[in-house]
Amino acid sequence: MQPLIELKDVGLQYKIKGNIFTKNKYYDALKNINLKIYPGETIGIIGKNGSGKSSLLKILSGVIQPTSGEIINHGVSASLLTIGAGFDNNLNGRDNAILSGMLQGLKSQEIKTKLSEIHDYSGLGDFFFEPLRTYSTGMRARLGFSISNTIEPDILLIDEIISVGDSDFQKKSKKAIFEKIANKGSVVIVSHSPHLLENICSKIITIKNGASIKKNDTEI
Amino acid sequence: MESKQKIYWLIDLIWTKSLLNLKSEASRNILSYIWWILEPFLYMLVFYIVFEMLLNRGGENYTTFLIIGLIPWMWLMKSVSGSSSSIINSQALITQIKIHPVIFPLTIVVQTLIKQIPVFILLIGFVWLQGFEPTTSWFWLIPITILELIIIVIFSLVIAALIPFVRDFNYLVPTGLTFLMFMSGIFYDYKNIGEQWQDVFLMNPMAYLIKSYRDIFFNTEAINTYNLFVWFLISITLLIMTLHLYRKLGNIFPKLTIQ
Repeated sequence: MQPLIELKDVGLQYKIKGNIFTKNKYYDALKNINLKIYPGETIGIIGKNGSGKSSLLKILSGVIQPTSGEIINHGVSASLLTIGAGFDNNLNGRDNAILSGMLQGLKSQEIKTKLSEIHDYSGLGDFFFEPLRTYSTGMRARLGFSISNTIEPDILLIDEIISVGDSDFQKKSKKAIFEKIANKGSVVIVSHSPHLLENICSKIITIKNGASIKKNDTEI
Repeated sequence: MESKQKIYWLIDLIWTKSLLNLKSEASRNILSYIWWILEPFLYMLVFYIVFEMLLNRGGENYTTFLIIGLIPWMWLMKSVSGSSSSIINSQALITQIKIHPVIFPLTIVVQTLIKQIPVFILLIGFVWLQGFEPTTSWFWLIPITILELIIIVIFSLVIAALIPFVRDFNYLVPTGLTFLMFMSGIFYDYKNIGEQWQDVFLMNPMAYLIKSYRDIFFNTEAINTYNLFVWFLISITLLIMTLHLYRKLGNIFPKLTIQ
């Protein structure tokens, strides 16, 4: 079977500081990462804060190019589940849904047909037509999740299973994510809690200081 | 086919984002959209007070002369200064979502263009009211305005792309624009400078454009079609090169903005 995305000896280096008065200082966020993602796979990535988990997701989504090695994408879309990307406080919920949805890759016609679905799912009621600055943190998150939930990339990248909103909405959003994982093709989930991932992932990778140290192939 | 659809989506996104940004901007002010007219009016008032009232530089039709120079200038200035840090300001977004950075400066250009339309209509009305009747030569305003738009896009895109590489350029943008303003013959006629410098002076695209706007409105000199053709040729070539550069470099901006 052909993988959807392949990483070959991928390394990522950032410049931390350096100008005409101080020497350049670099930091290796990732070192020699090799990874293949196959259709239908759920991959879990475990590691401490700063170990390079999120950097790996940025490489997979194509947002950041590796400084060494290569990433081969066999024509698939991979995107991070983001909440509230591109939100503008002065616009109402509806306009923000259009803006955020389009920024995440939808056409204006597509997002417009999904507006009532987003409105219903968010449970915001009339607040959907009020400016975002009047929203509480929970309401913002509800709107953000409802928009992202309509985006369906070939590979879904999740940076921690987020629980947003009040307890009802938390249950609803968690359920939606687990449904996506169960139904749909490929998912990469980053977490610092191994317990959660062991139940749902077919493969788990641990990252330490930017390098993968262990692979548990439970399948393939 | 795939890339054609992607370009269509980019245009769709830039247009929608521009309209929503304008809506957002206007929603916070009491005078809302009235500022689109009021702000350029106040800006011009400053120059009017200094040059016509205090310095008495005037002469006949000086106010009209000044306004014909200032309005096209303000269009460029606002587009360029608005776009200059648009890519670095979108850091949070471009490091989360895979999105081409070209949309940020282009959104500013489109936003400024939309705001410029009523100002241009007022300019035409004002010149007419001053007794300069429209003639068929006013149709030349169309290619001259399109040429200015192309030049604005080039300037905005190039500066927005330079700043993520070397943030220091950010400090040079206001100074550079002020220099360009004084070099474009907004407050004076290019014919007043030494004759040996006039050709060099008109190589500045803004100086050429402002001269052309005045020639058209005052009906003083016919537009030289050969010169205009050369300007179009150069600017379209530069535009294609700039867009090509963005296609090549697009991927590296997210990383540049966070290091």
